Amino acid sequence: MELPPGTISLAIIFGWLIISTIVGIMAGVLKKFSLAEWMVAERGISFVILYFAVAAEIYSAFTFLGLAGWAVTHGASILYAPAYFVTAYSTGFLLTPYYHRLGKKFGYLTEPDFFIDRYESRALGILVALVGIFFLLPYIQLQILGTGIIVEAASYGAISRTPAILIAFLCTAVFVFIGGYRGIAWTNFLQGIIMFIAAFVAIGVVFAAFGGIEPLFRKVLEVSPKHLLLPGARGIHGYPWYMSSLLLTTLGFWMFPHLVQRGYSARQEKDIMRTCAWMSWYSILSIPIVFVGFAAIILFPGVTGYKLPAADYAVIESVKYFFNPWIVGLVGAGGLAAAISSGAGLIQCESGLAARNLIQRGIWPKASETATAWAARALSLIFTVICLFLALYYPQLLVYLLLVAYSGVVQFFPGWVLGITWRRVTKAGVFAGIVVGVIVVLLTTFVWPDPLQVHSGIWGLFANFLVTIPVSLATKPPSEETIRRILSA
Amino acid sequence: MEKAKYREKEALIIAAIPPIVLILGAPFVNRVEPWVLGMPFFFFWHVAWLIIGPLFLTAAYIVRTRGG
Repeated sequence: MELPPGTISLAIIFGWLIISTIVGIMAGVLKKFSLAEWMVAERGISFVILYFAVAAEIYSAFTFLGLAGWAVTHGASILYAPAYFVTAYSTGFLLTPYYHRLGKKFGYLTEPDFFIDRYESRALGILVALVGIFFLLPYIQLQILGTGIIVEAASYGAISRTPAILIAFLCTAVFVFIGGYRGIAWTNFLQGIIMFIAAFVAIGVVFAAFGGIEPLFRKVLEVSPKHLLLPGARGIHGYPWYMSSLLLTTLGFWMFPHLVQRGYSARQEKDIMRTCAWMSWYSILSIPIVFVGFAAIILFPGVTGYKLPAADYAVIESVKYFFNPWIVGLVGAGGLAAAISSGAGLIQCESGLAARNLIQRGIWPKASETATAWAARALSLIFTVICLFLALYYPQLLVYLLLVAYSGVVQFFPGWVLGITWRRVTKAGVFAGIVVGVIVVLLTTFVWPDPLQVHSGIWGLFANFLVTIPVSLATKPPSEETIRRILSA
Repeated sequence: MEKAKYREKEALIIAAIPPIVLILGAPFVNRVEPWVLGMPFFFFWHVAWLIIGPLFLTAAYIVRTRGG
């Protein structure tokens, strides 16, 4: 084989992209198009598909690039991520059965649908939709930027960032448009498998370079012992940071609008419960990536005498250094899979939120189900274009927002948890709580960053509860019928 | 109905153990020694929880769906 290395790896990556796109389209065209089909696959996704689809969606370009990049920069504080890959599933295990049950009983398609029903307020639904859309945007942008990094690096520069991004996200837009959530679930099932394989191939770097895990960590201990413990190499991640970040992600994780919808799309309650119960086993894929990050501490510039373009390139450059283009193509395909599987679900969720809660239950209440479904489809293309534009022309603009994505969505927590447990909570209480919570988050992120090393989201959540409870007690609760209906479900 | 509620509470307690231990445990496990399976202890602790976390949730699942 005398092919240039870029051709081989690029053929594997784009071959995989084509397979995924075809599967996503096929899954969609075989079903009759409707709003509930496009949004939540008619609540018909069964356990095995759901498990891998949710896994692929959760583990994104950040998992493949960011975990290792963080390990290079900060060291052991990255272990808070594998920690929340355990703790967040406890919350999911407890909450998602409610999502599924309430969604099925009362026909919810989006997260704001619950708030509209429980608090008898479309205005609250619009607020939740807007906050959700706002905080999901940077996640989509991150997937697009990640795709560019992965494909450009894995193709040995054979294709540059912009065409790589455009090709990958036009394919994604096509299967999201046609396939809706069923298309995404089926492609993500495949993505979830290749991501897992790619992560374990990548750990080959550690063995090729050091001969094993222990020699790697002994070497790090010798070269940079601060990388092995909190508060990390730069000394900024102490216990308050670790604990508050872990608490935040534990409570905030299942508040993301796209993950609420996955609870709705499960066929049975036990499918989503088991998905949560066993997701930590899938999350083991984060460990090889973290280890490769630690290998990169030593490898760049130490052994290879070669500097990383940026910390986020740690995985792909290490794999390139030690392995042939076939393996690079496989890991590149895994990284691309991680990025587009998350990007597709996020785009589909954004357009669903806008179509359902800003149009059908907002400015145009007469919109039929079919009209809303077509609006959602059209919006999925519009959101893709907007995010591509932002990623290509303003890559820094939304990076700041990413810092506050968890802090933002965790503000839905009181509305959900009090909503299913406490009779006295009211729409005014939840509305005021979300507004105050988001303001406190923005202040403790950008004006006074993380006071006392405690994460901004926790400050916001604290303020949120402090407002929601007294305001609720001072205002009129929803009708007795609604309260009984929700609380007994 | 009352019995079902009771089981739900037990499931909740079992499921809450991993987050509580992981969040509050950090100061006690932030150490290099002892090494386990080639990893400093702080790393081993996190890898181990990825494996045993689901066992707690499986127990909670059984308690919640079949009673216990």
